[in-house]
Amino acid sequence: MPDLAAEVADGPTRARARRFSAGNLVERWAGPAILVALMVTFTIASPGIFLTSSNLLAVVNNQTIAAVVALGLLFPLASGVFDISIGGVITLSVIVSAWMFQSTEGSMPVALVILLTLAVGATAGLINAFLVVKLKIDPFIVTLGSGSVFLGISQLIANGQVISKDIPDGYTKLGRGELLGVPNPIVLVIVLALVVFYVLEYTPLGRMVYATGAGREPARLAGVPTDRILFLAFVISAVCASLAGLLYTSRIGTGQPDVGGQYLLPCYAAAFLGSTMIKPGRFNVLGLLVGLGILAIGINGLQLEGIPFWMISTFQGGALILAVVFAKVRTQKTAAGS
Amino acid sequence: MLSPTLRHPLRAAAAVVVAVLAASTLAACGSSDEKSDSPGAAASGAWLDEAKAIADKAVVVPTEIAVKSLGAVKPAADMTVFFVGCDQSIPGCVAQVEGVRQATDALGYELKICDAKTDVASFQNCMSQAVNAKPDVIVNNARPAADAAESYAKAHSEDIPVIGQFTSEQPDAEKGNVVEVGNVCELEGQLLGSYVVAESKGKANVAIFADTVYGCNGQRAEGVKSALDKCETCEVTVDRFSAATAMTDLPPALQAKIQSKPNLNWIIGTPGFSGVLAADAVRQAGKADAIDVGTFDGDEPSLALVRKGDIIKVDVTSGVYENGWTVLDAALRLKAGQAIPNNIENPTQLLMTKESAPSSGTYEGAQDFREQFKALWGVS
Amino acid sequence: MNTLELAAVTKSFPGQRALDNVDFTVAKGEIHALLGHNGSGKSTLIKIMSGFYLPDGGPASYSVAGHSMKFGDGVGVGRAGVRFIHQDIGLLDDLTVLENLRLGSGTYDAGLLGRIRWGSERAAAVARLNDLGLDHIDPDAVVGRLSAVERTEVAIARALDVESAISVLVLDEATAALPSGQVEHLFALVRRLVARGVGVVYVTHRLEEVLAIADRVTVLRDGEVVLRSQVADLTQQSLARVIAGMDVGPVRDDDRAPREPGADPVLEFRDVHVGSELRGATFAVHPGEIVGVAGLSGSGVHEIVRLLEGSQGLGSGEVLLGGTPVRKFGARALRRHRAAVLPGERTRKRIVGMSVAENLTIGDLTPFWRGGFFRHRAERREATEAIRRFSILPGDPDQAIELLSGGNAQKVYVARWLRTNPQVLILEEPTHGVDVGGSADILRFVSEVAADHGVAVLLCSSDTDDLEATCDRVVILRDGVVAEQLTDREITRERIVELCYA
Repeated sequence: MPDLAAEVADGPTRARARRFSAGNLVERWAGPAILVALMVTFTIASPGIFLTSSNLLAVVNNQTIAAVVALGLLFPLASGVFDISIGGVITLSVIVSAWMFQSTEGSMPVALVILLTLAVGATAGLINAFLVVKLKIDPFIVTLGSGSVFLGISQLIANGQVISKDIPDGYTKLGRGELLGVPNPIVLVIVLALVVFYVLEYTPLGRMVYATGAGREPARLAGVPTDRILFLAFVISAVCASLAGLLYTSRIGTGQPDVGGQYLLPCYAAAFLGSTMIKPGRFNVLGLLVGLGILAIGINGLQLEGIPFWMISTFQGGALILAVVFAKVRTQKTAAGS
Repeated sequence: MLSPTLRHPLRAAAAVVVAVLAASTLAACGSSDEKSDSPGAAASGAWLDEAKAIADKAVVVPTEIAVKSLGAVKPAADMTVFFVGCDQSIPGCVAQVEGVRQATDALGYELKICDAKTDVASFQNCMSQAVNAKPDVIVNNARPAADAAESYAKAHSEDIPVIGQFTSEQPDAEKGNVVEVGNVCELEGQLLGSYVVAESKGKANVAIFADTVYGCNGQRAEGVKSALDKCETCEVTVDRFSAATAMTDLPPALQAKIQSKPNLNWIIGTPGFSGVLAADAVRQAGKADAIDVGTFDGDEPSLALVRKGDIIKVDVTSGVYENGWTVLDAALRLKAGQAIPNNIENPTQLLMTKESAPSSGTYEGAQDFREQFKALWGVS
Repeated sequence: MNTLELAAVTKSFPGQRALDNVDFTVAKGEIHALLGHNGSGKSTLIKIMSGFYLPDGGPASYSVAGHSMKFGDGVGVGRAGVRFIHQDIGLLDDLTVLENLRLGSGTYDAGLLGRIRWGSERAAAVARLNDLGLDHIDPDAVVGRLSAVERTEVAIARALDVESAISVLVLDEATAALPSGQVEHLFALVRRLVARGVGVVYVTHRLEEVLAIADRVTVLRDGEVVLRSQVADLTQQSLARVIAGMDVGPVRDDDRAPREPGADPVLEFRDVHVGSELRGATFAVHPGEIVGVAGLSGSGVHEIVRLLEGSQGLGSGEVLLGGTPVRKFGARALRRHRAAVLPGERTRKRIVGMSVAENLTIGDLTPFWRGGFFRHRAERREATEAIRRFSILPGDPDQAIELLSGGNAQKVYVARWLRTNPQVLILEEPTHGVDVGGSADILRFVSEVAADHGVAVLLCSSDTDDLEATCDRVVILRDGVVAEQLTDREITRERIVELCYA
């Protein structure tokens, strides 16, 4: 399992070799083209329903929680490690934030709750990073285990009770409100996507993240502080997951004992799908957003036509496998070619 | 080195795969024909009056517990109750235990609890522990008897009665399941359905979303549908989802339903959290004024919205603690040798709206139900 | 009678001829040493024997025990009874001797339902060990706990532990990891095998071992056989000279003025211990000076680089850079001392999946970080400039690094460090796997930065030509300590080889 994981994490980064040879326009823009094709298809198939601002806005808004998680997930994936504890961190953040409101009867300032919850998320990321970097344990195993532990802690805090009392309006307005006609969650995703895009593409840090993912040992020997990069990657991923949890609480109130685990599949599917486009072989922000778009639009369009429920997970899982198969095929071709 | 041109057909193949996938799904499912809503004269008929009557009655907190008609019972001096609870990290499951605990405390009985989690193995383990403990009565909360058939048979042969609580099954004394308490899921659905018919004045266009994991949700959906089927001018669709993937699968499905049925005016979601997700979907679609949401279980997040009249307009639940007391009442009657008719032993329901919802907490049971039980049992 | 015969083998790699019409034979019951310096072609020859490489077309032929072999048919070679023991002996450290012995065989004595009859397996293993005179090895011992010699013995026992008859045993630097002095045990085993008629090919750098055990010697240099002789006619010194190629004139540029070490040393090793290999090295490098480090494998050269790059800890002693003791090693820490380390192996330098430009600039990204934005255009400009200056081909900064030849890629890595303006440059095998033209370019760059910018260079290399051509001083390591230092005109490749083997 760990080997498989390492291989998968390796795939897209290695496959990048091809990006430089010849203008791979088709390879880069196939994903966005598919997205456009889907939109055209559904516009024709569901006239007057699919292509409406209300539908499209809602489709995007539905993806906001997954998008926040996936944007954070880009950091560990780009630096070559898996973080599958995000589900546990989302749940932990949902429960912790609701619990802080309930146990203070809603008197705790909203900003403080947000800060403390993000701090809890950062701590979770630090724990992951410590185990992976300092104790050199396989990240797949570490985050599989820690994710369950975070989930367990959430249940301990909830103690079987519904934690949803006294969530102040000031807080729910954050998740349910709008800014200039755009729902707040979408605003958050846009801002976060810009920040992540900036960090990955326009700072030395981003370059070092990619270098760590492409080859940890040669990068370290070239002077990249790979240990620190990995620490940062796990912390960012966990903070984003807890941000997603906050978003969830402010929109829904509270959730099932395991709300978070269900976001794992769509996030990974979108990230891997995204790594096959725009900058093929690299986990990148634009690709991720297009990947999310393909998944969301695909599901939305099909559902408007009345597909059954089981198709959704099948669609997402299929997309994930397809994306990894691409990466793999291209890796093998690169290996055979060089 | 492979030629670069080989690469592109691969991408093209991907596009084809996705397109074929989409197309075949479209073909397989077809387009569900919707009757176009015919706005016109107000609907009327006996069914509408009937629905209004049911709805009017349902919003009033019942004054009498159901078992009152069975008369008094003399409690045994001492009893041990073994309670096999459903997953104790789920709030609803904890509430059931709490009700039983209140009742056993009132009688000074011993209560043993085993957490059967959500898996079959834990349930079987709890049930065999229960039989081995040789209690006076075993209570199985929400799990199918067939999953622990051996323990049921053993309990039967050792004359330990098993009371099912919210198992969604009819009692079968031969298999050891002597009494079923809380067989009210369909009834809850009927109440909610009637309310929707009455509120919409017979113009309801309803989408029901029901989970498949817990049998009760299916029965609720049936109940809602049966009430709506009586309405000649209403429309209803039922979609099933799994609670295990609801967080990611349900919101887009709700969205698609809202977009594809422009005349939709009600969404019913069960269990409770799906009602909250439905409210979020309605809000996103900007249809807070056009679409109302109804749900079950009386969870706090739903009730918070119900009290404000914010999208979730109605929540039907059975008295969460009364249920536990009713279970103990059934145990007392069994011990005393009384026969218990099917379906009379159930707890009461309340249809909670902005007006009828308790200002805090959820619906616990009929008025003064604790005193009513104590009076029946002759304890103070 | 020859049990193995290779005739007229020629093998070319792009840019070089690794083997040129080589004949090689092993007689029954003979120990035949195959010698040559790095890059002489001996490992290519071994790989052709094992079927890993195919020779170029031509009249080449291969036979074992009288049967003609197909080139590239590793399975057939194994079936004919040829066994290979490499330096990495391939035992599983966590398993016992018994389990390791049976792993290679593929067939177990199995009982009902495929249950392995460990009882009978054990008896067979004990018999095998006894038969080979290895009764001092406990079959139930965990291999990881055995001594290096015992592990090699187990590896040999495993190689012999198959049904078919063994005709030839190839020991490919199998003794390189063993402490000298302990190989005698191994010799006893080898001699027992020889007595049974097995032919042995013995590949090593240790000439005293050759003299002690081999019957015949073949020396390769630049892909040609330069010596075929009975061991009895040789001395260690004469052998070293043949290996080094005494007869080839020196390439040293004698016009070059000897450099006087100027100011204080910028890199100093004081009694440095690393692991078990480097046991107290003391030397210094001055600004503008190129100091070579030479030594056989196991002499501690490798550990010097491992220490500086931060892969292995400092045991004891002190390393000073610019007069300051170094507390933390590794590329990043050393950059603060204005020192840079270029590791030897390709996989430790090459960041696969990134472009030439990205590989080049990763050593220091700060020049492109201006005004809160990473300036991709400035990076590209600098990369293009470096590509031109170091004549890297193809000259496209967006090219994937893995599509570059070894020499061009190596220039990228050298450039990666030179553009950080180091005062101290530590290079490990900088011309390894690099074609002749590329090697010359790289050495020229190194000489230039030393002469023009006063950079102190530590050149850890097994290529004596490089050392002779570029170094002002060469430090010879033997058994983990500085055994000798050669300066200026003393630096000749034969002297270096001689001292390394001394």
